[in-house]
Amino acid sequence: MSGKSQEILEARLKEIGLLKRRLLRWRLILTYLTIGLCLTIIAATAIGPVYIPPAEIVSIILHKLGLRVGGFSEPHMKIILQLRLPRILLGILVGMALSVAGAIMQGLFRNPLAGPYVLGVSSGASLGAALSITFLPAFMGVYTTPLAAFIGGLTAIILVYNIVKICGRFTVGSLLLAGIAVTYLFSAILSIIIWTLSRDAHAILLWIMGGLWGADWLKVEVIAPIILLLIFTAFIFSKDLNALLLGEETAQSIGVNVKLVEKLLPILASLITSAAVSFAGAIGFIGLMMPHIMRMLVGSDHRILIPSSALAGGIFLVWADAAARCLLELPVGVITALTGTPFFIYLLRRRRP
Amino acid sequence: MRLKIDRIQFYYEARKVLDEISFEAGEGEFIGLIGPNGSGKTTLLKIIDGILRPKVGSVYLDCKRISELDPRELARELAMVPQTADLSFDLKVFDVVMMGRYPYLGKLSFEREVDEEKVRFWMRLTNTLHLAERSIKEVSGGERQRVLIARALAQEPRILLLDEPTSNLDVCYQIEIMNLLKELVKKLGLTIICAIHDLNLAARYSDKIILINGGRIKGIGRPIEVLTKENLRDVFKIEAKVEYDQDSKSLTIIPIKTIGQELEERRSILSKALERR
Amino acid sequence: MRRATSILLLLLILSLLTPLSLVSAQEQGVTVVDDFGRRVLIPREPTKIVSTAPSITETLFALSLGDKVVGVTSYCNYPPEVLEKVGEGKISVIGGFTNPSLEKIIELKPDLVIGHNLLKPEFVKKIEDAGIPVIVVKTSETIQGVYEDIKLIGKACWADDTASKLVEKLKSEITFWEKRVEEVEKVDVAEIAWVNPLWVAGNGTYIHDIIEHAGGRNVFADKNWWASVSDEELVAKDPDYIIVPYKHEQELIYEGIMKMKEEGLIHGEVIPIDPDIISRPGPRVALLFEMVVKALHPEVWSKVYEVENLIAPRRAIVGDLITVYALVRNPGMVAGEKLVELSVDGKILSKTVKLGPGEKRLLNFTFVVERKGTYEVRLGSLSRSIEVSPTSEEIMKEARKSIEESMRSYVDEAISPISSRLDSVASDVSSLKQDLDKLKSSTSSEIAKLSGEVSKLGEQIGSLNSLVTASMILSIIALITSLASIAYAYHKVKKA
Repeated sequence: MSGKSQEILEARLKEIGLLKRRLLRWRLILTYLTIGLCLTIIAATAIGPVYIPPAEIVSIILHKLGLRVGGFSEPHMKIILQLRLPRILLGILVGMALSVAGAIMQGLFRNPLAGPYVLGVSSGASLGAALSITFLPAFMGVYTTPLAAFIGGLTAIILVYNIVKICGRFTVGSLLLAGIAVTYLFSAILSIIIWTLSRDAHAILLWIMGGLWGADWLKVEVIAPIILLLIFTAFIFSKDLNALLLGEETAQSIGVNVKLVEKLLPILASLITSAAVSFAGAIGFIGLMMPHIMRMLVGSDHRILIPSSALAGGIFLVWADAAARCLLELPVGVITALTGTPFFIYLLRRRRP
Repeated sequence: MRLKIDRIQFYYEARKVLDEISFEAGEGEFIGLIGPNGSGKTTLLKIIDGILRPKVGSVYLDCKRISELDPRELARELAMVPQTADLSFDLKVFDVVMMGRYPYLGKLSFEREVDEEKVRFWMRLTNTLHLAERSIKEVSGGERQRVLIARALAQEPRILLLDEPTSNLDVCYQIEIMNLLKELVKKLGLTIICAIHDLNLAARYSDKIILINGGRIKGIGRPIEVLTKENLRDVFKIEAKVEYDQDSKSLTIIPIKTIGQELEERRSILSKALERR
Repeated sequence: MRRATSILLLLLILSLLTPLSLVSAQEQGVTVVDDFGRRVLIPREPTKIVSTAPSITETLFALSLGDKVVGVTSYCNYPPEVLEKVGEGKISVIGGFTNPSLEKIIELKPDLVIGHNLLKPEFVKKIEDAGIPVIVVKTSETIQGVYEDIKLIGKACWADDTASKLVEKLKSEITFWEKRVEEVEKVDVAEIAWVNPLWVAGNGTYIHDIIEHAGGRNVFADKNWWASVSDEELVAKDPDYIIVPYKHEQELIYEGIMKMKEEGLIHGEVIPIDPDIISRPGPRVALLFEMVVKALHPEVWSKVYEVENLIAPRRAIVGDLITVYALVRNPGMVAGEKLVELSVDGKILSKTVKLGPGEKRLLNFTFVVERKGTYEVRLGSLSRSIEVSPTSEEIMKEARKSIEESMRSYVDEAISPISSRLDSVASDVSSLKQDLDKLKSSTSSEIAKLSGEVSKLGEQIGSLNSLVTASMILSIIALITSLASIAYAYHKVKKA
């Protein structure tokens, strides 16, 4: 752009005001991401080990909406409506949940190594799932294990909070340490179970590696309101998280109820994580890396970081899962790590020329 | 009385850091808080700001205990500029200053035009407006200091607490900031409690000086009353010349030499080490 | 010369001794080549055997070597005897499937350890180093492999004969069923090993081999070994039958597949089978084979039964309600409903009966015999005949009929001359009639003449009246008489 026109542009932008500019930028980012999400949903519906031509997919969806256009076969309709669509939606929800949980953790602990699993939620959920697979009869059918996993995740966070209460003052630092302790404890118990009851070891490991197999509409319906509500609640605390970036004392100084926020947000993040992990296993990479990636792209203000991490996380997981479907149902966590890491490195290099 | 500090005692684990701190601060008063490092200045400021809770004693704002006030309400009355700020995340300067408007915004509301105007105003006053779009990690130490002052000002408090605000600034900026603060005290009736290590600056701008050492108030009063040779000797361990200029009504302190056993020992060890080389 | 002689003598003695030593060496033990090509010498007949896998334990007990087993894994639970003996302390548990305790094994001082291919090679070597003969059996992936493994284990335990007998028995049982499903159309089958993600049995697995021989077609035969597939592939293939491992406390797979069925994603029939039987290639192979045949081809399985006896009455009368008794037996090892079809005079009467393995049941079939003659009642290879005689009414009817017949013929015989005579009489009568007519006409003419004359001779009528009347009466009498005789003759004829 030539110098003169750049000046004019800048002057005009300056006229608009910094706040408006920021809002415009944010709206633009969210619009792009939302469009991206919609496109992802459409594209992913067409991807899978069983080839279904796009024309057939369109007629299936139109048929669902009441229009009779074109032909399709019954198994294909079942695959699209009952297997792929709920799986895609579940992928979006889980991706959103893990990214937002990771963003919250990173904002709370002001530590780039913080992810959704630092407070022991994933080890708790894994232990719950392992106990369910090994010992429990399926009293709730296929939903037994997710329920057990959810309870396991909650147990972990309750344990963490109790440890902190017993051991003195409540600080985020002590929270982190208690989380590490609980993670190791549960992992040890998990290892014992896997070792002694090796018959179910394969099943347990599969669960831990994580995947969106077994997605159905009921799961989507159960988990969607929980996750969306929790994400919205987290979004409400964006300004508080922003303030925390300046330090606990400064945040307190500008009026943030730091004690409340630091007690509430970990629970919020743990609930989100627990919900996501109980239905999809401990999928790695997304919770840790997605917020970092988005921070590099949209900035540290949580008011844009949380929604864009959510959308980007959803998009990414859906693509990774589409790939997993076609690659012999590899665990999705493997694909997210393999593809996400190079991208992350690329971004890192771009930031530091 | 706007601000009353009543018999504060503070412990850091088992150690008593502040003992029997009491004083008052009224409208339109510039109070300089001086004392050697580790005397408890920062702790005191944090207690006044409500960040730390004293074991004994209370801070009263308009005769109400600050511990009973909602943090947001408190933030609209009191603001603090810390000595250092942990700024490891990538935020724009404008956004940092805008944080000062937090106590005026609802949970879900975004900032309004009026907030932007105020932020711009304070940034202009602290000469930081041109840095608005830059990342806070990229600005110099002095610029950062001014940004933090702007942020505190954006809270539009009645009482402003500053912890060594001039420590990183160039001389011209030091003067500028101190002048600005004095203006705010005079024009807006702000109460300012400013911890400062530059005794001359403290002497020149303060209406009242509080001298703290070892967690206790060693002197409180007008600069000329507190910055005496004796106090300087006792508290700061220096021999100094104190000059009072009648016309400008200014006090100048010229340190001459240090006193004190440890200091003497250290000096002799140093000279011995230099001799050996 | 003498030296040569002594050397020759020595050689002679040695040559005599060598075959002896060979013989004794041969008697010194059995050498087997296990599934990994290892040559293992088992010097003495094993009296203390350790098993490292449930399928091996089952094989040992099936070879009647149960008393010699001293160590099993924590998963070994069949036959139930094993659990009893473990409870009594006669058998020790040496650990799990992949990580048994070396120390426990050695402590038992066994004569033979039967290992499997999932044990670490170092582990096997350590047992060898401790001086214990150990053979390694590869978990079979085919039915044939099971036979070979049983033979191998049998040989290692110095029980060749028992092993051969067992293998023959299993072979015959499997062939029995295999033959019966040979001609039937194959059905599509899939075996599910896990859900979320979906793992299926492909080519090269034990259950695949069973399916393929039991009249099924594995829809995932293109996958190798155990493969992870997408739910979508199962929906697209939608096999007719889906075999699912199911046991109390191992219900997740069944629940998962049933859920897919409830949602209409798949339509095939879900067949739950005890996972212990599916995953242990061993002496229960024939049982599993029959289970699969029953599931895939119930129409074949239900018609396989032994008829031990068929009881039917020898005689009956038309219209009787007959009860035929059949003693049927389930010759196989699987319980289920058998469809027994009794053939009665060409019609089929069927009954279903639930029979346990080897169970006998007496069934009764009732029907009504409707016609006289021989009723052929057939069930399986047995058949009986029932002589059905007609009823008394019928006899009477028959009798009457025959009497009527005979009477008819008699009358026919008697009547023909009479009828011929009647014919002549009839002709006589007709001629008489003619004559009568003539007479009548003549008489009437005469009467007319006479009446004319009467009128003429009106006066003379009185005297001649009686004459005329007499002659009229006479002729009337004659007429009547002839008519009467005709009538009489006619009546007589009719009566006959």
